[in-house]
Amino acid sequence: MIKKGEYQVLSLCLIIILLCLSVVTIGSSDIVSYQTESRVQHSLPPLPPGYEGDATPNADLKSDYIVSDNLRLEDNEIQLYTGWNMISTPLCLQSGYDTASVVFSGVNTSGHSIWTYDGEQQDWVAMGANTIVTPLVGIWIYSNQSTVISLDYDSSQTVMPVSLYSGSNLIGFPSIDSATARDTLYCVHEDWTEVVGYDAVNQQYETSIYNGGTGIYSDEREMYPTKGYWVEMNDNGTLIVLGTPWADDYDFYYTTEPIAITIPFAQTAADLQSTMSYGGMPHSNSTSLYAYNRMPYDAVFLFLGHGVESSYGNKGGAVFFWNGTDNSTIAAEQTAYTPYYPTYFLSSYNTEINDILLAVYAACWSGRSSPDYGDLLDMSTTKGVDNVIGFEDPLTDVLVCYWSDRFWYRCREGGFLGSPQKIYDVAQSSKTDVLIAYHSYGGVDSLCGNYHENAYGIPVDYLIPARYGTT
Amino acid sequence: MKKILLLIAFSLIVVASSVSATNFGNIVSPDTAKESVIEFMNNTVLHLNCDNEISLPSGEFYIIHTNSDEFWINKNSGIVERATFYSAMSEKNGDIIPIEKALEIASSYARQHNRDFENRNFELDYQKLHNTGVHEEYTFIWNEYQQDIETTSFTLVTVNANSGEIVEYVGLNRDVYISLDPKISNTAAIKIASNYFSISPSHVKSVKLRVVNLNLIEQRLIWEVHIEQEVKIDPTNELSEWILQGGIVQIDADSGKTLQIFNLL
Repeated sequence: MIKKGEYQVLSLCLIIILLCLSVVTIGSSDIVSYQTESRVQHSLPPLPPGYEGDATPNADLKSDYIVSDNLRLEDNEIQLYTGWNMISTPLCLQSGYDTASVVFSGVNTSGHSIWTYDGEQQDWVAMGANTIVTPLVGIWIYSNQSTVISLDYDSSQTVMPVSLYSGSNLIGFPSIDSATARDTLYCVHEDWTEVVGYDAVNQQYETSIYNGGTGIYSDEREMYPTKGYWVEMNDNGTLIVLGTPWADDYDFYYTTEPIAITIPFAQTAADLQSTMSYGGMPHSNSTSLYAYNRMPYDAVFLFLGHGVESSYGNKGGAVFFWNGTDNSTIAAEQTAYTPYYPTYFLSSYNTEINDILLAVYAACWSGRSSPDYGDLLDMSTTKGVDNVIGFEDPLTDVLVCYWSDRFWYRCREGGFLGSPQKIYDVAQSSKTDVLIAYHSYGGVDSLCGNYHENAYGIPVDYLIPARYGTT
Repeated sequence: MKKILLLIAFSLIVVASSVSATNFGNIVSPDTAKESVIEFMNNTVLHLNCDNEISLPSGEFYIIHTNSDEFWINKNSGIVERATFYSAMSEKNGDIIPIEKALEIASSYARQHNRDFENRNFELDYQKLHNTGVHEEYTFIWNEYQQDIETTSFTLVTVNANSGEIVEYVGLNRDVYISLDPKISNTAAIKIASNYFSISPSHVKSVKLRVVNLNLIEQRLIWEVHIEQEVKIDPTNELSEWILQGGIVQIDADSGKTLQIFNLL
């Protein structure tokens, strides 16, 4: 039996324990609630692990510091302030001077890790000593004092695009000149919702920029060199450097009968195009409207998917899109035929697509003229596309995939001494590459096209240097 | 007992040596490859550069360029197995030469440059006049057959249909070192292939036995089943457009295992 006095002692102990627990809970929740509150109340993105919010704002710098203005620095310097900084390199760094250990060698991080963010996994990634510091990648770094980082830029600047994923993405600003958020993110303009930078002077997030926002939230607000930014996306996309000629590559992961096949080869094409200084952007499963709206911005357009036969049984003149749920097509021209699926016609363009240097329609019958859909190749040429390639016969996925891989590779370095090859030569020789690799053409022998050797005195027969086509 | 063990060890050494010699030995130098090109072209003043190499199931090749031409030289044999003449791809004015004339040119070139062309059982399987968009060309492909089975050896010659110039040559001669007797029937192969598509076996366009190179050291006898059907994208609506469904399925003719599927686009 427990006596009355013992009850009191036990009760007191219990109260003390509960009080202690609540103090511990409240104390530990300070950090959590700070971050949670920040996100909920201000829709702000996460803060890096180890962020305690206790760095003293750089008050002495406030008077002459303009948050958005780093231009007083040399173009090859990054200003770090005491506390946390969200930064990026504006250009590619010289080999040997591009690793985290070298770039940040003069920074005392007080034991904090240096962080990037994996948008695909939506998780933090600590930079290793040998991690390459690249443009388009945002970095969180702690410095125990204000300091300046000097950057050694590479003489060759080929900035590879980065994949952005639905959710939060930490990006760098890849230029030494500022630009509006609208322009900087135009290549993903359908998908980004919010951008926010970090004010390292005051150790707090800046006011967000919203896609289509106005006033202080306007997407006309500038993004600045050496800063890092959070970008919120509502879908996956690819970020390229502003001003880079667009190369949009479409492939499809058809998962429903009667078209249950997977054709994952836009990524390889995009990677090879990017090494040629195009902004290679792979898109898996898109609507034709999405592609149609982007074509006016394209220097290179690649479609890898199904061709279409009209309900009257006429093959060709159109390519078939699928976004995971809905079917749609892009066709050459509107005729008396009424397509069953939503269709967008090249003939509806005026001069919008005349900057396309090369369009490749890798689909069954894409090189055929149809009385119902018209002629994709000729209509493309009529609308100002410089070089256009299609296929007259049925294609098989693996072999046209290999043709595509070889095509982009040869465009880059298939010639004498590893020099680029002419687009026409490449198209032809890649057919034979397929035959030697597979002892079968798989339909690529039906390749046909319209090529411009030369337009208005400007050569348009090579893919290199990266550029838009002639108008 | 010891003698048996020694015999086994000796046998293993001999087998290992022969495998090694077959697959990895006798790599010719890039300079030797260049000499092969000079001999192939019968031209000693060519400015040649060995730019690259490529490894495929059908062989390993040096890639040698002149300013205008491209050659692939087998790294093991030193034989020029591909020649591409880009200057012959340019637009040529004039009438199209008749196919008989083009075939004569192509056959003559094949005999001249493929030393095994007359010795192997090559059959002309492919002849096509094609407009590439810049020029027109005839392409001829001869495949080798053994016991009515297509092997991995073939010869291709493409002729510019206007000028009669050789545009491209490929001559791959590979020995067959596997049994050409299938263990599964073509009916069984069709049944296996049909499982990959929602198409009735009645839509099989072709089925044939072939030898394929899986990689540099492995060959397989396969059934190649081609199934194809045009289907409504929306089967429930008559107004729906059509696409192609099906593809080519390669099935190991010994084990029945599916090796590769090529889907139609």
